[in-house]
Amino acid sequence: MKKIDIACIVDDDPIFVYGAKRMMQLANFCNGFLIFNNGKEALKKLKYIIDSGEDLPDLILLDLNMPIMDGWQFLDNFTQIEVDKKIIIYIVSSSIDPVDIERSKNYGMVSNFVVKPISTDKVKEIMQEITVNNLI
Amino acid sequence: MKKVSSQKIRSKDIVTDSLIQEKLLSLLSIGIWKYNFITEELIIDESLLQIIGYNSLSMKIRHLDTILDLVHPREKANFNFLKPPFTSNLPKNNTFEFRILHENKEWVWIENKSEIVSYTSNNKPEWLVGYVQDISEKKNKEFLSIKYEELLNKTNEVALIGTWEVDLIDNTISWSNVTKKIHDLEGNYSPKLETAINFYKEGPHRNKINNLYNKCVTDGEPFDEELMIVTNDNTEKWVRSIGFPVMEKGVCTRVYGVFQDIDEKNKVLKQLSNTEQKFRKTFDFAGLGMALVGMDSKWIRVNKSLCNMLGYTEEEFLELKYQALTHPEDLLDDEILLKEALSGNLDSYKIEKRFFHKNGKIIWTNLTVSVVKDDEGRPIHFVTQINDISTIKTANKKVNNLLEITKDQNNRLLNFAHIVSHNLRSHSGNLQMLLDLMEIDTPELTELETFPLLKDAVGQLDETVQNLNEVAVLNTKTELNLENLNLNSYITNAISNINSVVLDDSVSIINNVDDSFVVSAIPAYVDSIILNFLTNAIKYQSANRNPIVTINAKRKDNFVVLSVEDNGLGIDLNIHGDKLFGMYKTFHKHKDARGLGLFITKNQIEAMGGRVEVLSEVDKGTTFNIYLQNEKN
Repeated sequence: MKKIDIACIVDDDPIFVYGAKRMMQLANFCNGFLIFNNGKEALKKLKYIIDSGEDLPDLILLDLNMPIMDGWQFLDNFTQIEVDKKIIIYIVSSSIDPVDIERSKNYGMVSNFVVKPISTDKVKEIMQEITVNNLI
Repeated sequence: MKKVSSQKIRSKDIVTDSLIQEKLLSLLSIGIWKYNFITEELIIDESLLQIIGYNSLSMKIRHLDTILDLVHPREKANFNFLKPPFTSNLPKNNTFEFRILHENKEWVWIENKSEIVSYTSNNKPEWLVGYVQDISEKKNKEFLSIKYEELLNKTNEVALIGTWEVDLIDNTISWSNVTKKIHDLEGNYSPKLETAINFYKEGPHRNKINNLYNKCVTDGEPFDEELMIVTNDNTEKWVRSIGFPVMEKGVCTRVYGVFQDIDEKNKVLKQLSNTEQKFRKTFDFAGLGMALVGMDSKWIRVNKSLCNMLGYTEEEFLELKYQALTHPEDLLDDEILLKEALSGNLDSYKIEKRFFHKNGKIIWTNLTVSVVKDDEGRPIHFVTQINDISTIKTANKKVNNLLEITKDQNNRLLNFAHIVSHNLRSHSGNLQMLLDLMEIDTPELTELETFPLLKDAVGQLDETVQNLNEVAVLNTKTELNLENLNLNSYITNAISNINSVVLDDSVSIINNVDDSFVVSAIPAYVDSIILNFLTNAIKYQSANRNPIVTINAKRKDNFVVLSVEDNGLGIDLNIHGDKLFGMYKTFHKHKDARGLGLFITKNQIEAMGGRVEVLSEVDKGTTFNIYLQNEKN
């Protein structure tokens, strides 16, 4: 099982960020984290990383409902940027609206849709999916 | 030629007198002539010559024959008495009329009056004096009046105007032929005073003529009335009867009158007045306001309803122009349309318009204006119908207000739904996540009595929120994108997704649906619906038998009916029927009964234009028939 180097969490809820981080650490999901509070912050920092040639995250866990710039807007902008590295994106949202789930399928770079809350089991499922589908 | 005056000239006075006399005679067109029977001497004065266009210079009178030559041959004989042999009984006075040829070759009518003024000793006439007068004008009038009388008689016949006369001195009555004809009587019929009046129709008509005739005779009051008679042939006829009294010394001696057949005219008029009356009744008693408006936009007639509607009396109303009653904001529209109607582009128009009540209140109306045109297509006036819709308007306003409130409330509900679906869910999710972490971090906690209870509480909270979420999502959907879906593949997919907890070896699911069934629906909804019904069917299985779920499909009208049949516990529809699809209703003491599944499922089906039916018998099983729209091209 390949291990993810840097996982990025884009979410405005600090409790979720804390919990997700803990779960992923417990599962030995990755080596490091990049945390952003909304889509705009994430976009800005990621662009900076690309420009400066630093290491981009291997995976992004993206929330949908966020202030300033929501998950959809982030996706719309991020798909415009040329990136050498393949980045896995998971939407992690409390939305169970089928429309949202359908909509996420329109984005080729989105691998799957995970409904909150996150648990150790779900983290393990994601890891397995990545390995099985050979996403890394 | 000798003049009258020249006979005996004695003094200047006489001469002057003669001249004046002559002048006077010529002004009166009277000429004088004298004749001597014995000497045959003829003396004609200047005035006489003037009457026939001559004077003493242009005509020399030698002999009586000089004049007689000019007399019309028919009347020449009148002058025979002037020539011998003279009859002994020649009358002293002689008056006759004759024609004489005027200088301009036209006949002039002359009236002659002559008198033998002296006789010889043996009693023979000697001198005759005559004076003549131009009576052409009078004669012509006479002829004309004869002509007119003939014409009048003919006209009377044609116009069916007869005459009658009652002589009250000798109590006789006479009718003209036309009068008889109107009565369908022969010309030789002779009316009698006592019975003549009986031709008038018995009842009001006869009473009326009796009154009128009596008044005419006693008070000298003329009458003119339209009445009905019954003729000799027993037909009823309308006549116009005019009577006129002749009074002598305050006593009526004669009544003469005119009798006209107006039956045809009257019938037409009666018909017209009936029509008119009908219109008037409709107009006056119509529940909606009606008005006739002139081309000058003045009211010609308004009905009671309209007066009541706007609070004016009819008199007040007719004083006002419609512009004064119209709300200024509606005036322009009305005037534009009115102009169109006047120019002939519009025969009628309909607008919503506000009038002012006398008390200043606004009256909302539906106004219909039609142009009434004459035979040649020229507009004469407008017929306006005005319907008070104030109540409807007020009601509409209330409805609109309510709608606004409802919209507002709905918006707030959507906001609330949004809060529930996102925020509340995040929080409950976080709680669960934190509990999980606590359990990992501090396993001892699980030994606490309260920990499992806390976990349960959080779990239930999460479930409740999730249910609410589903409902909220369902109700916030505004747009639906229906797709054509292969029903069988969705059923197969749902069967494979059934939770392994409920699906074990004892359960058999029979899917009889083939690939020919295609429905127009939302993929996510169809997933959810099928899964829900399958899960339900298995969940509420009977403890006494192995669960069998049968899935069938058939077409009905524009629907595909998907039926899911089980052999489970069944539902007592008499008790639960109306609550079956309600929110938070559970009918079985089953540990997983959420009570929300059917509610959401039903809503999803209906959102896609379908419906759901249920057939169930306790301890036998339940069948749900799900109507989904057939595929669309």
